[in-house]
Amino acid sequence: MPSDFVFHIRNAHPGDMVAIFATLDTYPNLSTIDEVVSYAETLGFTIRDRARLEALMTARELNLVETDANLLTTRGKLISELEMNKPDLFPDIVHGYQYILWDEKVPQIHCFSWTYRTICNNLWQRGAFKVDSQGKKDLASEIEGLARMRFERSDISVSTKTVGGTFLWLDELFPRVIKQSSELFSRRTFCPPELFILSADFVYRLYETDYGVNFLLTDERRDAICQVCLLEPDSFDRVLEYAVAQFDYLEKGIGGGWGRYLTLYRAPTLEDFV
Amino acid sequence: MIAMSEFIRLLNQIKTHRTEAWLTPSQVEAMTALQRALRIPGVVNLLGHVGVGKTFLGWSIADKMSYRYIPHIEQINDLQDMAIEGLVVDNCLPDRTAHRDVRKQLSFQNIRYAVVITRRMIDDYIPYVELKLADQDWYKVMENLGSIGAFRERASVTDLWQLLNPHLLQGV
Repeated sequence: MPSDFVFHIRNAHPGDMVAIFATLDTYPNLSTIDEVVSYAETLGFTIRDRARLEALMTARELNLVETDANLLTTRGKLISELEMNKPDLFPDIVHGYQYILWDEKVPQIHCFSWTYRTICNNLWQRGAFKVDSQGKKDLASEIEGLARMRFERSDISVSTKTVGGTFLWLDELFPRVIKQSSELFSRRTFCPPELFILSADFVYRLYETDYGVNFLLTDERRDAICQVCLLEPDSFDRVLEYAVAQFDYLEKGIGGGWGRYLTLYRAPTLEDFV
Repeated sequence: MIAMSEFIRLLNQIKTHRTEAWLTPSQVEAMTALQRALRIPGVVNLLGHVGVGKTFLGWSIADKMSYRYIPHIEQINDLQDMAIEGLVVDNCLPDRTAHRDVRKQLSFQNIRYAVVITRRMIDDYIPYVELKLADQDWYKVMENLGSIGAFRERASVTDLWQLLNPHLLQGV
């Protein structure tokens, strides 16, 4: 069981997560972190975080690795396959999972996902943000304040290391949201349709809407999807077009006095993306 | 001096006569590591400086694993509609964009196992095997060449291409 009220985002390096998938696929049920690291290196991978292998813990929290054994879950096997076939998409999907995991109905668990989400939302609302060391420090302090207020707990601490754990993934998104040369975050003008439909599903659940029901696209709801995707609102329609073309269980429309709406007929699955 | 036609003839002789026994000690070690990494579907980066024997090892791993070898990624188009177990792609670029393009093409062709050969390490999250040239490897290569009548001396050459074609030493 994950611990309650843990707001720290682990420094789960995407490369380490890829190595973990390949290693556990080849050598299931290794017992220690040292073993996983050693076998990963035998396969030719470079592990960045040899001592702690925090990517393994994050993979566990995201239900990619079993809770009580070093075995890939069904979802882990699928995402491993996704990484192999579509390496550009892999960070976006893991980003999406980290964003949507926290559930308001059980607020005490997976709080790292609340932190991740809040950092993303904060960046999105700013539109552009310098993510140098001072920027990360300011962001950490702001998120810490928001967490203390939201959860009414004074013992919550959010460090720049936590913020750094988010940027390990944001740095990898494609199309990019961080310009590495200038350390500048900015919203993107396109995102993978796979992340878009995952976000649409998340927002459906957020607004407790049943599948198959027309979902009115108010600015607020559109922005909620854009925040997951770190997408410019002006680019929403373009990505929606692509998503509708790619997934036959997503439709869009205007009419019946409704205004613009989208309809999602079922939850997206990883099988749809592989 | 060795003429270009003679150099090509020598390359062809090497291709014709080579066996697994021609592998240098470093290549044997790298071959073992590649086989280990290729136990699961994926892409492995075989890297090394110019003239350390990557291409020769690429041919050998293709033989050993029943993969196809192509000297350049563009030639992947020639493999359309063929059932390919695995692929060795030589002369790839190490930057992430180029590598992701290779991955897309592999995925498009439904190729699940691949060795991607580069001079520098690919800037991405893939396993790698590095091939280096040790003293004992030179002797093995010269012995192999001698067995097909191509006697060479190490003298001032610094890589295996120069050993095969001394013209390269003169910048030709």
